[in-house]
Amino acid sequence: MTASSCCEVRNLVKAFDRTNVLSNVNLTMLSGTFTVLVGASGCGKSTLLRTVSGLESPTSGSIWMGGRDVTALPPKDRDIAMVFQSYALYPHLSVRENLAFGLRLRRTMDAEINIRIAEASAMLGLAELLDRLPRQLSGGQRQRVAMGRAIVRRPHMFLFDEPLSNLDAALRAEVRVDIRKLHDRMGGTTLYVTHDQVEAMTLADTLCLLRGGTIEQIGPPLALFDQPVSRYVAEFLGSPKINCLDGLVVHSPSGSHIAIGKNTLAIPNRYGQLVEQAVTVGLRPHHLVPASFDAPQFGTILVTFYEALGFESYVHGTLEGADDTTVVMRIDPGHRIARGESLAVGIRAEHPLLFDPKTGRSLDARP
Amino acid sequence: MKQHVKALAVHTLLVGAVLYALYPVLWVLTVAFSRDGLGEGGFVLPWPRHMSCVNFAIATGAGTGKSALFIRQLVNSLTVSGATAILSVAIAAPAAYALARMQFVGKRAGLSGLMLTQMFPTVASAVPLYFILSQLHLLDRRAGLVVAYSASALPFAIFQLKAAFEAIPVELEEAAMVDGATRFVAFVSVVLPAARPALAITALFAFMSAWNEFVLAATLMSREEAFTLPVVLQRFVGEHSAAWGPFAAGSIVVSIPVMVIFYIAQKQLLSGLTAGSVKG
Ligand SMILES: Nc1ncnc2c1ncn2[C@@H]1O[C@H](COP(=O)(O)OP(=O)(O)O)[C@@H](O)[C@H]1O
Ligand SMILES: [Mg+2]
Repeated sequence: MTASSCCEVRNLVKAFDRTNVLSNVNLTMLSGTFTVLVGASGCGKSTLLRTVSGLESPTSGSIWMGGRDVTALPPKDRDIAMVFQSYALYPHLSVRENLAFGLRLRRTMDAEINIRIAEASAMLGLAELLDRLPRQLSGGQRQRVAMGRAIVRRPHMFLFDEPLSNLDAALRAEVRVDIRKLHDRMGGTTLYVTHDQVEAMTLADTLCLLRGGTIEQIGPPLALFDQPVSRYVAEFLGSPKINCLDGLVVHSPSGSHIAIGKNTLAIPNRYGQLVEQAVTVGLRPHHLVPASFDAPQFGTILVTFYEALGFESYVHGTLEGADDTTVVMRIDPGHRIARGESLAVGIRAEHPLLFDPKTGRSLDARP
Repeated sequence: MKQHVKALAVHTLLVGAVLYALYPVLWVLTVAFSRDGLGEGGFVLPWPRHMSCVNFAIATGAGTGKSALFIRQLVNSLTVSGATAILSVAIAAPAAYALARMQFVGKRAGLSGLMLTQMFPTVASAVPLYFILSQLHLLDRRAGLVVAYSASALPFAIFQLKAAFEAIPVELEEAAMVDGATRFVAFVSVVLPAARPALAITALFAFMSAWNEFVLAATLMSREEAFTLPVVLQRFVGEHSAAWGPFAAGSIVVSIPVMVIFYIAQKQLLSGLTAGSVKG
């Protein structure tokens, strides 16, 4: 355990009714960092967060905080604050008393409580709401009260379980930014659960992608995006989703390439020497571009659908000569494209991601 | 226009229903306020011919110099019912919480056992209760009635509170525990306040069942000073005479505290306090 690590999860196993929901999870959160747990619904994100909080106890393994084994400690002794998906505001208490609740339990002086409430309500714009009851608040206001309740405690660690999922899209984007700003300002360590990959990518210092109760990949968000260890990670991150095409590595006297149906593709350098084998070729929508000198033509797309979002556009189509596999590509909004049109597309040599079709693992030779 | 017709129809129906419900009460009022009791009043529309409060004087003992006794009996009823309400909620709440939130050996059996006790009428336990309370020297004492009433009110109270606690989101307690509460503190400072309407209804139900109870009260209390009001009332229409006037007046007096309590508690009973605590 390094000096700056705030919380550590070691060999954590959690089972409900003999089925493992988490198996052998190891996770280190450095002081002051923002760690996001992301994954499909039911993969064990909440369970991991709740085990860190002490609301669930592990089947085996341990939780360490500030150099101490806290596995046996109840939540109240862990110096954490948590924001729940449902907000869980105390219905019978005013906003002010909701904020004060935890401080009163810890016998904080009244003067200090007032200072902290004033500070938190200034940060979150709660000043006019202090005397209202939770049921008199809008969804967005409740969400802010829930965050305020965590902030006034000044804990070492903040835990969030999908705090934005009950807000509408516009508010979600706004509060997302606020949460990150708050984190930077408070200087605490944050563990944040979401199933939303945009939230995950934008908030995280460290992104931890869970799959079926194990960590599929952990690292900086862009590392997961650019060097996914598996097709699962590649497909989970990015919207629209990465295109996955069936390919074949071919070595011939004239050189090596990947064949996708009748189309061919150079093997990116970083994959080194590949034997002749079937591969899954992952191409993100922005990897496909209209063919040009930089991006020599790789195939032709028959356009079936065109989405213009204003600042960018997506072309949906089928790749000719490859069993009409459907692909999505991103283009600049300046292009005018009609359905039924044929489009020559190119790919820059460094772009494709290659996966083993059977295991879904990346074929990237680098560690 | 169509809406007006509809509203008129609905209101006519409602007024009819109210009249239907109030008609017997009107009879009671008529008998109570008549000088000659049952002999007065029109056949269809009852109304006292000779308005008088003499029946109330008899019922409350004011006319017979026994008002101190009546007040004592009224206090008996109030204390017994109040104590029953408090005791049964105080015991039922923790029991219901455990049944709602915790897993333990014997939980299902316990719940079935509680259900089973509900299938026997109270009268069936009158004789054993008499012996038990006599051994405990609680016969003719209000505490004895409170014990008996609370015991019989408990199963229903537990079921009702269990359902209420189950409707409270677990996250509320979890938030409290993260905030620094033990489970017990979370129960007292979050769960109980959030369940206030259910607690009020449960207490009221226990109060009412004790307030109205007759068979046990008549069995377990033999001194006049220990009587509760239902027993007092029953004496007006005894074997030999039927003093309907004082009986009607007495039943009105008995109803008043209940009406007052309902009036005070109606806000509690109607408010959905948990609304707005979770989700948007
Ligand atoms: N208290 C519990 N008892 C039994 N199974 C549970 C319990 N909590 C969660 N699970 C199961 O564990 C799995 C992971 O749940 P959860 O951590 O809530 O997933 P996520 O938050 O990633 O959607 C799910 O299959 C869920 O059904
Ligand atoms: Mg979850």
